[in-house]
Amino acid sequence: MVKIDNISFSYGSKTVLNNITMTLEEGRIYGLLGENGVGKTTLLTLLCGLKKAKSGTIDIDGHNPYKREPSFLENQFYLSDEVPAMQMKATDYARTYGKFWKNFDPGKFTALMEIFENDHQQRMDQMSFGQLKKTYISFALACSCKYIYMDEPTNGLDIPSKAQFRKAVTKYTAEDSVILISTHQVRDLENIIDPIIILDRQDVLLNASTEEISRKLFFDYSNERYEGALYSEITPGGSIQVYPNLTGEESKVNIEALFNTVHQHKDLIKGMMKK
Amino acid sequence: MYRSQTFDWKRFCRYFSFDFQNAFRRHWLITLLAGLVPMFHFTVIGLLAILSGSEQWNTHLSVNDMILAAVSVSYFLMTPILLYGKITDRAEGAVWQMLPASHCEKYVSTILNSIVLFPLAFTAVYLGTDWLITVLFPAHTESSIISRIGMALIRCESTERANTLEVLVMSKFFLPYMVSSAGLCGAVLFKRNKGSRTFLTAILSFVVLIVIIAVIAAKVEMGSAVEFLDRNLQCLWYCFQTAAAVCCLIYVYFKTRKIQL
Repeated sequence: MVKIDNISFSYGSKTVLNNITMTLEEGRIYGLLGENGVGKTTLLTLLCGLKKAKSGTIDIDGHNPYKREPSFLENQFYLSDEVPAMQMKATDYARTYGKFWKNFDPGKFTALMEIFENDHQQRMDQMSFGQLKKTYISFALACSCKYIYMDEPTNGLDIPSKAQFRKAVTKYTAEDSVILISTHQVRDLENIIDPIIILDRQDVLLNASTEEISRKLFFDYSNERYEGALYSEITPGGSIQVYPNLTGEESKVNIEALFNTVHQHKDLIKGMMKK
Repeated sequence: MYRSQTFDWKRFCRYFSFDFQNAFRRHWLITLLAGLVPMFHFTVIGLLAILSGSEQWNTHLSVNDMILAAVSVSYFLMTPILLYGKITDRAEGAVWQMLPASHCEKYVSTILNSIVLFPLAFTAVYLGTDWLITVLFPAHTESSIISRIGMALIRCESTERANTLEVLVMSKFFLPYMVSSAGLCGAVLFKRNKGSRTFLTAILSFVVLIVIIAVIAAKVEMGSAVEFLDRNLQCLWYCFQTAAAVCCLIYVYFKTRKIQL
């Protein structure tokens, strides 16, 4: 379990995260959303130990990430948005680096590369950005770590690959894993991320499962106008409106509409979710 | 089974093997080319002699020593930067930091590769090439570096030995491990233009040191210390360099331990 307690972080005089508290439970794939510059990448790098919180504590199964102890590092994998192009074949990269993670499965790596239709005999420094990303995604999932942090994993992936990514994540992650995916491309991950965390400048606006969200908010896809809608948008297929769920009726959560709703009514949504 | 989080031999061997193979893959060609400089030098001198129609020519000892000094300082300074400059890079540095090995193990491996193994390999190739050329072309070469060292050792004159060993320590000035330590320090200290900044900082530090020594010598009444300094200047200089190397390595240890990307 990941316990984040009142952490703050700043770059010089610019505070990016302030008093952030949350818990990430096992067996979930969390979607981390937020506008540009709110601290999504910073939060991921704090969790994996690349940065140290200015205040507060992060506890991951009793470990302080910043200490970067080998037993802690063995249980996690951080996939950055910028990935280096190693001067070796993908299969050699997997064989060389996979030794460090005790649960790494080379068969899984090969299977994932095949799902992505990526040539594992190709040199990584000759791959396109998308191919390189798919190689690292395959490696991350093949490590079978308990904690996997991905920063914009679908950035650079073509349309078929995004579907393959969804399939790979749902098929190849262990039941007790904690996966935290930071993304702007919510449509790419709509059906796999649950719970959803929305980060704002120095605050967590939302940290809830889609079930909890649909209990509190109703997502109306009909063309009927609702006067008290918190958010409404005309979409190519019709329209979408979001308003408080007073009847307890279930609806499918539209993450983009949810994001916009939360941002337009921050205090209201926070209060609703706390009840 | 309990494994130490600070240093575990099995984990270290696994990490060091990986690190060395990585370093070898990136750096073997540069090491080889730098080590073959005597051959390139001999070839250039020979070609120039042939083009000018000269039959009596050879590579002079003093020129050989200057080339050795220049090439070895450059190699020892740049090797740590080329191998481990990536530590401060956001993408590659994150890969390095996130590898499941302790900081101590990564540090020891870094020292072994950048300050011991690769400099030794370069030295072996360089001396071997130099010796081979003197064996194959005795008419156009003076004595090899190895033979000069050997002769000094056989004579067992401590002054002679020290003077001859200075050939290997870059014409009396810099100890190899001090230069490599400075290179490693520059690799983690600077984020960009690591090579040029490290080189310039090293030059500047040397100049500042000379100025400080000159000022002290001019202002302080040395008395009998002058004779002591005169006799032991080289030894004191090497001790100072060793202390500087230790300081650089301590800095590298703490900087890499606390690095944030």
